[in-house]
Amino acid sequence: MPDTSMQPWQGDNAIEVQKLTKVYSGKRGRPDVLALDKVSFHVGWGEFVALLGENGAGKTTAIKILCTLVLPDDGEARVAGHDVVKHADTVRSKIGWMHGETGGRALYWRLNAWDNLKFFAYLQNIPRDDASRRIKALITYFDIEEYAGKLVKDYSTGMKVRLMLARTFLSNPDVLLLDEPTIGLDTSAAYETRRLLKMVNEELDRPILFTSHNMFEVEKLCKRLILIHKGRVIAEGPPSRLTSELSKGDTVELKVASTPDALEILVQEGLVRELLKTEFDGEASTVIAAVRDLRQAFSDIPGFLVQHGFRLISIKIAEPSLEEAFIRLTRE
Amino acid sequence: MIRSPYRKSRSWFRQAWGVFWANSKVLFSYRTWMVTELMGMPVSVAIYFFTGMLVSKPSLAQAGYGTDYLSFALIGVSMTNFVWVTIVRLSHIIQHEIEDGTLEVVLSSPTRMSAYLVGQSFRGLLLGGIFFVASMLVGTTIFETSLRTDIFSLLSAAALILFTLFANLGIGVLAAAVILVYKKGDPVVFIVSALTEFLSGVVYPLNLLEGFPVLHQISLVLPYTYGLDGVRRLLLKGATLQTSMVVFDFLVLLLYVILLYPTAFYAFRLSFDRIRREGTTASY
Repeated sequence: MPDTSMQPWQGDNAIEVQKLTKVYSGKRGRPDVLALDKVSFHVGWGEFVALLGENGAGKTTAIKILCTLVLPDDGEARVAGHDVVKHADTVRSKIGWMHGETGGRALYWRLNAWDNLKFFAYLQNIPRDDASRRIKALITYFDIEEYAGKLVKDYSTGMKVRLMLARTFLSNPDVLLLDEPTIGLDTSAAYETRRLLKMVNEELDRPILFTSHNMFEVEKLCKRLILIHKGRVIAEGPPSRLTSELSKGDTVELKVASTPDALEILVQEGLVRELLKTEFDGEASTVIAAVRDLRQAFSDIPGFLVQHGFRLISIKIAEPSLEEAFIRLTRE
Repeated sequence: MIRSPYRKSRSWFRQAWGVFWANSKVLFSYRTWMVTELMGMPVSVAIYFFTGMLVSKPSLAQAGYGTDYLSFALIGVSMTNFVWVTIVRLSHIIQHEIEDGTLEVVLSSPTRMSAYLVGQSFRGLLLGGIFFVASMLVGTTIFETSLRTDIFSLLSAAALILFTLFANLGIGVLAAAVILVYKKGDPVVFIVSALTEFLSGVVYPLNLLEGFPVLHQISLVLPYTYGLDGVRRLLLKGATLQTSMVVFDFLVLLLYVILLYPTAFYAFRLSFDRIRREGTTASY
């Protein structure tokens, strides 16, 4: 009888979470911790979704429930159509999970890359011939050929992360769950990891749910994000929608060929309330300014600047960055 | 290639072999440690050689093990080391894997728990076996002990030693279940190993304990007491697998296997579910 477990689930969503609740019991008189409070979200097939939140918001708990390492107290979670509690074994054969917080420790440092992957091929019950072919392909794909024969203890953190990603993909999982995959990486290693993740999502068409504190990479990689705060989902949607919704319509972004100091005149003359943020690139200043009335600002400011000898390069409604939106949402 | 599907099997043996293979490879990568451990072997045998000069031969003969103390102690010490390396390694490796985060990766894969535990246990078995053979070789070649070395006695002893190991591996799994929850400390291994070393007759015959009834009774509860007794009878006195005392030792060990294995694996399952509820599958 053919093994149909290899066929990806064709349901609407790769991940479905309904009213998931998790409470960690307080020990030695400490209060209980409500990690997840009726959290619901989904990840579609092929989607690259970020789960955002401050430390302790419940992101890792959610990911660990999805990869069957933590049992929920209430609610339901399904990965590739399988319940994570009732069919934990099946879920384990469908997922690729990586926890970046270990900084590459979650590998066998006294084994080389090939043997690390071979070990997990045994655990995943991948037949010997298939395992050798897959390991070879993954080592090439994740660009670790040069180091494949060396012990992992001699790898840089970036190399370890690449190997962890290769391991995550070893069983050809239907769904990827990546918990802070770029944490602790230097700029070039983080860039390389992002490139690999994007490639995995686009070329291999695998849904990815990942967590990160880096808003830059979230904007770069994800088409949708889920923001968790104190165990609850407080916002969900594309990053651009989130930032535009948070724009209160009282800030403008001006780019003027001038130094920032000279633009204080806008405040003195009452055209803007406050200069919120200024940047100078040596030739022009970019200023985010709070205004009293947006329409009036657009009609008055350009003329005023021209009258006073400034060269206005651009003026537009300012939207908060994703980082600012994140901070505003979590503080509110 | 990366996207292409492959045939998936559900082989318990393949998973157990994988755990054994990878962890043995890790173990033998510590070459300096292996060499220094093996170099310490002649020293510990020599200590018992000279201690033996102080032991009265009549008390040994009265216990039914002959009069050669070094042979008596060599079996006790080598076998104890074998059994405890096998058992202690399991909880130690799980402790390390919890701290490194590798256990989480294993637990989030479709690895069967029993395959993982057996694979890890057999790695300890291999290591303990190497130390056992080394100390026996040192004892028989350098210190010329009077052990029976005919093939029949050796095979019978090997069978009984394996049985003793299997009986005690249940204790190793129980200890691993405790480590899984408490992460540090090793109360099961500590208590059982301390009692075993002290009360199973590793370095003195158990008839010396007859003046201490409570201690003597405790010694009779320990599975290791029976393994040690049987092997000594086989290698020191020429008993066979048909000898009633050896048959009795076998039966007691069988009872421990039947009782301990299901209990230990059940305890491990309970511990696993508990750490999943507590969210403590790792402590990095």
